[in-house]
Amino acid sequence: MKEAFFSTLTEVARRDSRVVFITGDVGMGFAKQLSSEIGPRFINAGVAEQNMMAMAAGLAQEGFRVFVYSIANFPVFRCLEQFRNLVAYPGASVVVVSVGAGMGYGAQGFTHHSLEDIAVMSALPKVKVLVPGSDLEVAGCVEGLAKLEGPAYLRLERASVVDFSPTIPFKFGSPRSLKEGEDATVIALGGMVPIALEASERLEKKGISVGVFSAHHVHPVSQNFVDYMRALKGPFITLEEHRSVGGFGALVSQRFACEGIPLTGFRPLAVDSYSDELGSQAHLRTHFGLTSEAVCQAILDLRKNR
Amino acid sequence: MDLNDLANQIRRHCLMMTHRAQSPHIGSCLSCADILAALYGGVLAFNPKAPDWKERDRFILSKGHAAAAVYSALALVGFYPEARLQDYCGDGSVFGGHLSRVGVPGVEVSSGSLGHGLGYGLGIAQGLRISGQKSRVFVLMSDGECDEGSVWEAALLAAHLGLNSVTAIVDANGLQSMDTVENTVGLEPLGEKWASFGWEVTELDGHSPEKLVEALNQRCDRPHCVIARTIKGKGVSFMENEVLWHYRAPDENQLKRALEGLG
Repeated sequence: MKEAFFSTLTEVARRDSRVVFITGDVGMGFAKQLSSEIGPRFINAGVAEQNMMAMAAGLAQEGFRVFVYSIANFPVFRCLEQFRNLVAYPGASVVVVSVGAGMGYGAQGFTHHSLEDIAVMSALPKVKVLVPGSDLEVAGCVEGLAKLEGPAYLRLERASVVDFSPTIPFKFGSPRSLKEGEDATVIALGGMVPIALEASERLEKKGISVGVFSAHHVHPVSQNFVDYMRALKGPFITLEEHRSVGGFGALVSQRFACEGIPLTGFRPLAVDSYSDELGSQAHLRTHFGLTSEAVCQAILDLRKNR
Repeated sequence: MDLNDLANQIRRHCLMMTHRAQSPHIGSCLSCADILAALYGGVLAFNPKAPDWKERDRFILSKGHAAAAVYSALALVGFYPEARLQDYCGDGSVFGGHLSRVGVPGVEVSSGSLGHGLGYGLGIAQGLRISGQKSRVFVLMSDGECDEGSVWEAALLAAHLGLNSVTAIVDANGLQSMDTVENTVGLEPLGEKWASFGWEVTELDGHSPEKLVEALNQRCDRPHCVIARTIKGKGVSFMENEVLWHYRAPDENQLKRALEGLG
């Protein structure tokens, strides 16, 4: 999603002189065009995330809309206190962009995995958490964020994700229905969207029709989202490449519990266990049960238990 | 107001506030009173009637635990009535024990976790540069704060970017929370460290407002670090250089003696 992010941000920064970009020394190649166009509004803060985040907050105070960019957990965990104190609590206009969602950096190991970021960012006040499900949605998220004030977190896949159906409009903040289905629904995040679609196709062959949503707006869980989900018939599943504690499924179940929406037909699929397994993102997804087979099985189980 | 009088008034308020609230950090407030008097009495451009005036100089208190001293200085130069300081650390108050921006005109940013202010100041300075504004940025830190790695991240980048609108002031009182700075994590030679990071360095007596004004008004072609050699608890004989007064709050009798000593 890097290419989609940089090409959209370059367009946005071209017309909006408030946009400033700070990188923690990553984005080589993809960032070239942006850096050549915006002069002092492009800053490489070096391998120093704490200072990078504090600077971003200072720039926001001066009226700029700041995009901070780095890999996986670095722009979240290494500078978490700066983000909490200088960005989240005061509501500064800083968007933290992390590339390499979940296990996107696969065999590079757990230091480069991002499996707790949604939990941490959602726990902080005023922060919008966005997880686009395709390159097209990345563009929509960046456009939407550039117009907003306040803090946000944008979680991007390392790889490009081609949109399932570009004719379906993207509306910032609303869950995007990619495929309708009567018997069950999967609400997927980011790189899990294609896996949800694959599961839907598999079950279609068995005569089970499964709807698929790309949630993209993860936190706060919007009223819009709740209304969509309230209208659902049949079991539903959330699917995310994140730990189950504090993840999207947890956020949804908490919100539903408060709204009085029954959770009997609900199953959150996420990374539930810890393991030292190493390998590619595809291998690790299989290892942790984030596959279309696992989604199909979960749907079949939920249907059986009804 | 005369700078020494301003410093004296800051000290008096801090003593009364920490006594009333039975709140810590009086030693840290007293050590930077002359620095704040120099800043608000002879260096910073500001307008109490328009706290967000665009052309103001930006002052960031990175050693947020000296909040009482800044609240006092802001009241004394007219941002709000001095009577409001009685509310310090009270229930529902806007004047927190660590510096709070919300509801307090004149404060740029809330602080309290050490090592955040300089990077924040760099962001402001870069923002001012992009906007073509000439305002200056002052960041007041403690010497113990220089234990934080983030201070040195900011020191590196400020010099690299040539952010000469930034002045870092180190209130070098030689004491931190548990012991002397040198017995905790040795910092000396502190001036040489900043100089080796590419900063212009001035070391001076941090209790001489006149010298401070002169140094802080100096325009350098590089970021400027002013190491103000101070005494923790300065102005109150029984608090001076006593590590206990980092946390202890004066009782009735101690307050009386302290105020008498200040004259």
